[in-house]
Amino acid sequence: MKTKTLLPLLGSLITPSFAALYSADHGDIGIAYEDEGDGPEFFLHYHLGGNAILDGSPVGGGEEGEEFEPSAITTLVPDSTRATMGSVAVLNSGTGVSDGSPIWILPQGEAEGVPFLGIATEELDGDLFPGGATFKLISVTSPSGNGDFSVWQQSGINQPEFFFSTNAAGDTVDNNQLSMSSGGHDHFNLGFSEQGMWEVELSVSGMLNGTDLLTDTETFSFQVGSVPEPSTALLGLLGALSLVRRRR
Amino acid sequence: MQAICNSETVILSLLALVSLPSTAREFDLLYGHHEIQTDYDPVDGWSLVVSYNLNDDFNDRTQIRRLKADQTTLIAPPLSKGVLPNGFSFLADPGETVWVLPQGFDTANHFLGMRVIANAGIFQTRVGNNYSNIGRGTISFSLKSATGSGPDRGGHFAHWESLSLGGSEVYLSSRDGIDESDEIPTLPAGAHSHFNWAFSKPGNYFLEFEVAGRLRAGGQETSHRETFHFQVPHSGEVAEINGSLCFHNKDWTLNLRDPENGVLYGPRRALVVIPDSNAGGGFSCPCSFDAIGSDLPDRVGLPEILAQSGAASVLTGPVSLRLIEHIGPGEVSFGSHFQSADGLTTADLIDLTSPTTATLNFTEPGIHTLAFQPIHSTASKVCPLIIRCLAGLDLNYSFADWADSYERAYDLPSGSLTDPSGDWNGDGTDHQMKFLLDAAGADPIRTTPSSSHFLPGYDTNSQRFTFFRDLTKDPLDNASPNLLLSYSSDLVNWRNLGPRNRGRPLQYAESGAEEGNAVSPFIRRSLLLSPVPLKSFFRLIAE
Repeated sequence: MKTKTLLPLLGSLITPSFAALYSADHGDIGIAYEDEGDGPEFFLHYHLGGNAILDGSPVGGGEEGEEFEPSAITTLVPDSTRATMGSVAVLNSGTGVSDGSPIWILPQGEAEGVPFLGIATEELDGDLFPGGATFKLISVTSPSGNGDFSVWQQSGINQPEFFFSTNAAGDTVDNNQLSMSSGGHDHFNLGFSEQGMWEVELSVSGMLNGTDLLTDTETFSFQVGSVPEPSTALLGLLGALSLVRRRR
Repeated sequence: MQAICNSETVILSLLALVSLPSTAREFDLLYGHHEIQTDYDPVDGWSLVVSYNLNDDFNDRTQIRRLKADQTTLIAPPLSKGVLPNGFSFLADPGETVWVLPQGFDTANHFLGMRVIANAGIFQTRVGNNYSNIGRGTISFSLKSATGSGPDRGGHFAHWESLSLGGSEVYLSSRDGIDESDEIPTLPAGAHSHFNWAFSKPGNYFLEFEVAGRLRAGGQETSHRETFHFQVPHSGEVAEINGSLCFHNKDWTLNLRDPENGVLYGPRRALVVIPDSNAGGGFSCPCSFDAIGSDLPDRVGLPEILAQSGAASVLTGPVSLRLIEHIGPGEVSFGSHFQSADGLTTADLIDLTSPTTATLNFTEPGIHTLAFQPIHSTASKVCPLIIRCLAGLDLNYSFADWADSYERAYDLPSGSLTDPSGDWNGDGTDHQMKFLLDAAGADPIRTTPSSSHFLPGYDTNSQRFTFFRDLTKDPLDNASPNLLLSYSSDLVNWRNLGPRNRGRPLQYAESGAEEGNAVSPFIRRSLLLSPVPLKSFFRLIAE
């Protein structure tokens, strides 16, 4: 795995608020399997395509793009993705957003000027991981502490299928777990019920050769709504720090 | 050819040691992540193909493999079939059966994306009908025509994007006619997006697409067209026997017509499904036989000449059909023409000088195989002509139904065949595998005749390992039993192929081996290997 290490903007204040901002084009939350001498390990990471926009510029790196530690990236959910929820019971329950309320959605389909963020197991070999991998939603920290995060897919002629939901885990396909076969890659809707900085903690697990359990857990950060002005950013940073302190 | 057993799995192992020639291949794909891919290069121009990535990393342009559109068929798999709810009038009416290759990934289905490989800055960027030199540049993708037996029987094609909060962004739809509105106006250079592709009737769909863009250098328009082939399987189910005996060049077939749906089924490509008649017991259906050919538009498992060459038309002298065997519980009768209750003799004959019609009746529920011998002065050694019927069962009959039916057919004690891992006749093939290969003629009691070319084996004509998939028994999902194709070059290391490990069509993959111009759930398949190892060993596994 090639991992690009990004310098934080404010020295030792390493928080997601000051990670590089991923603001458009294609990228994935990916899982890699590696053995660098310490035994086989899973690595959750970002894999951003060469055209993905990071801090205002294309990532580059040729066709393969670059891979990043999750802590190095904040994904922007721009204000252009704000929608007003309708009255659809399965969507209201799954997203935790009521009829007439706003929701910000990173969409499953590609849209201009919006991150096209997928989830990928492309780097897993089906012969080594015949059961694929399972992503699990561990925790979510919303700006107010009361927001709801959800991941769902609309496809074909089916009703929406929810995979992650902080509001209604019981309505998800597998209790806030998402299983994918090896070599897979798919796109989902990521829904956020309020503006601000979010942290989403995910774990992934898989059985090497069908017998040896490998896992990894990482936190992914999302800036929902407009990007704060510098002065506001500092307030946001303080808020984020206070959230972190409270959680600790 | 020999049989082997694997210590970990009970396997039907018909093993072939062969050297296959490397020839131009045609591909048909039942599942997997592929793309309708547009390439544009200023020197080489356009290409529009089906593609996949060698390393499953769709960010990696260097690993793309391309399949020519005119050599590739995408078949709608069983789990693509569904009943249309409200809100999709651009495809069909609510309640109609449709087949959808969905936008989201599903192991048991196609995951068909659209990809554009063109460097940024070659094309202008379109916004509405205005163009500029900002951004990476875009191309358009439009539907120009939809032809084939699917559209001919009223089938429609639609292509849309599912929206996040419900609803559809419809790009292409043949239901309201095809015009300039059937267009994805902008696909950016470097795009890789997924959409829903759907069809509303069985049959063939030849979809002609056009990609177009306006070049930044010089500003001229450029475009390219290509036709892609999609197939929606016929049901493989008929409610009555409308049998057509045909002969051509030493080959005999007894085909089943389905005139209502415009399809002719070749050997073993359909089952006759007979409900309980509730009239004095028994299971009855209308039945007719003739020796007249058929010109129905879709032929499953049949070359055109064999479908059209009615035996009475191409042969001189009388032609008849003799029932030589009934494998199934209870008895069968067909008017005064044959009855199994008093034993089958040369008198159990259907004269086909003219069409013969009567009622076919089975006394017991279960799986019934009728084996016929054509009688004509030219017919000497002919493989039995098979018609398979289900009395009181449907196409999705279970393993328990299978075991019960064969136990009664062969007067075995109840429970003799109920263990999937059992092997009653000790031929090395377990009951589970025989259930999966029931449609191919696998028999749990008798040694299966080696002459059956539907059972797995090396086919000298196609020079490939071929086998028969019954998609009603294994619809390619993860529910057991799954029929997996496996191969090895050393009998030690085996590579399994299936929906979870689909292979790569230009290296190793399951592909088609069907004759005819249409398919049903009963479908001949083969293994493609390229380059071909000097030694290749093949087997099927039930998991």
